Amino acid sequence: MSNAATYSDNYLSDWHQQAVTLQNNINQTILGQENIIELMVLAIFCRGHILLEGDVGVGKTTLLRAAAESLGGDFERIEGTIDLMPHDLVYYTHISSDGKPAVSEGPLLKHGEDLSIFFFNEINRARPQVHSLLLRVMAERSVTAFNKTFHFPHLQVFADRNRIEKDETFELPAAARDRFMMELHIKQPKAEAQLKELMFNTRYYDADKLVDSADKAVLPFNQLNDIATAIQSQIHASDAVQDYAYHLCQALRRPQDYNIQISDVDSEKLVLGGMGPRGISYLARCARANAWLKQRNNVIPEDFHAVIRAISKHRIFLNPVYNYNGEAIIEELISGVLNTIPSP
Amino acid sequence: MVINPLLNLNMNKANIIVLLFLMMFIRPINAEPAPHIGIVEQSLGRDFGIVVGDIIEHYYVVQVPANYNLTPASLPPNGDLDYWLELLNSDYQLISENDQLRRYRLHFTFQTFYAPLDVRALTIPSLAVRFTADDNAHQIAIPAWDFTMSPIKEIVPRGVASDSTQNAFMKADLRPTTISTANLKQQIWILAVSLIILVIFWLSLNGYLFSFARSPFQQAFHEVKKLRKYHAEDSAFSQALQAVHRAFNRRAKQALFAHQIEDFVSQHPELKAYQEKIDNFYQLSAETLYSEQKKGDPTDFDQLLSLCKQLAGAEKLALKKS
Repeated sequence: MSNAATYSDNYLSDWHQQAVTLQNNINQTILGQENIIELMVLAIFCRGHILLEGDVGVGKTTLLRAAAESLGGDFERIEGTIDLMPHDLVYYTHISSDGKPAVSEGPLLKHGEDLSIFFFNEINRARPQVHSLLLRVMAERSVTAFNKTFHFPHLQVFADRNRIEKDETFELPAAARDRFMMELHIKQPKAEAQLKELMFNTRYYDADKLVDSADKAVLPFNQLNDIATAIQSQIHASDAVQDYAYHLCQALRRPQDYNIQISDVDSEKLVLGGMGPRGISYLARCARANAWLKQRNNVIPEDFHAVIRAISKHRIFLNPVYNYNGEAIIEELISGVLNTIPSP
Repeated sequence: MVINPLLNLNMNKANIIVLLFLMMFIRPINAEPAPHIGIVEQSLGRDFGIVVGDIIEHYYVVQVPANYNLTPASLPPNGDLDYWLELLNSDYQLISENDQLRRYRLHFTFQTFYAPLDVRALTIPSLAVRFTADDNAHQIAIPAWDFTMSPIKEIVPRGVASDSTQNAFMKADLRPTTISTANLKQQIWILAVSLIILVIFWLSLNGYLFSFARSPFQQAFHEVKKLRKYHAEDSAFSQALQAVHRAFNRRAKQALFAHQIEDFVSQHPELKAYQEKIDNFYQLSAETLYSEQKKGDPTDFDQLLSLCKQLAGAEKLALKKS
């Protein structure tokens, strides 16, 4: 099948310009998160859901709001709380203007197919029942209510959680985490100038004003699915790069087969699971999108390097023995894999 | 015929004397011997060459009338019999019985702690074992046992060399004859040398000889040179690129990618002058392997050969300077 005929020559390059505009727009609002923003843009153009994690007050919510406002389309936000139940997302009951009890569509349904961003704040405060509903919404972009199925073709879920508090929170199940294309760990900027800017520039004092100051809807959100499809079909992945990506994924699952050694860790027993078919597919998709964002027509190993941490970190499940130092070990494992697997 | 009456009388006397003499040996045919009561068998072991600490074991088989039982309390108790002699154990076992007799086996275990300075005669005192039948009792005496104890001494006579072949205490009667292995040794040597030569020849044919000491770029040079002969084949140039990539990976001690070249040359300053050429190589590699837009021609092979030669030369120069 030749997809080249489907899209005009300038289609990808025109969209590339829009992607850069989107990236710049968010960068103007959020300071010192260029790499995170680039990864978010990649996820947007792969139509993947994003989970932001980080310390308190580093700007997770502001970043997601800025991204949502920049994308355009209908936007819905909900706060995760311990008493939130699935039906709170689907409908709400109230007394109508004529004084009679009424049932109306909830935040998830009321925008219909125009829902572009569903922003779930503090997702780990919601109960597993809500996570369960979210699983379907993320995987199938649909939900069944009032005896019919609602579809959200343009839906992208942005969620965040803070990693400091563990009280009254519910750990996301592995299946839910796997449905997020990326889990981004947001840290505060380290550069002195940026920190001073955040401290003393009054522009950053009011988050609402800051988000409002950015351009809105810089992209036609309802065409994102098409451009995402075009990117995947137009960007070439050679046999050599496919081999490379395959071995990367295999090495993440079975480091012992590639002689990857981590200090004080038994490679044979390190990894219990991770990087399943959804994960490796996301990795390939993001690598293609990265190649497109870098204005290349073909994928190179560096495209995988750019996205592998955001995509694989939350998909690797270690033997519980190593959980005490899990993050550092996973980081070391990924570095070991990148340094070991040769390309070509 | 006339017989002398005196002579006849003398012959009768002689017959009577012979008859009386013979009668001394005649006994009733059916008379059975009375059964022996007491020790009928014994095993005492050797009674010489016993040294301090030795265990001495005595076995006796005693025979008593069938209605007699051994009284266990009559067996001597374990413990010291003398300051140098200890009874470690004494036990018994009924080994056979019939209507008339019973046989018991007695077992005594002694240990001697006497430490003589020369050969010394000693005696294990006699013991008694008692058998009872209703109100009757019979005692069997285990006789005293005489033996000699020896001191523990060196067996090599003093003053006789033990390490000299001439004066060795024990010498072989005849010099042992050995099977000649000279021929076998010669064959093994010839085989081993041939094998080593063959291995070296094989290593040199495959370019592995001194590869550990050779620059990875020099190795890559040889590989690319071989592949250049097959430049018409599609995969030859890819393999050549991979050979050079392997050289970079080996030198960097990790998989080296284009974006890491800057760090790589800063760690290997001898290659700094060739950074642009290295960048070009990675670009050429990307175009060939990832874009699949380029196929190698002899010029490209030459470019690779030139790069490998230059990098190997730079490394050699740096090695000499250091």
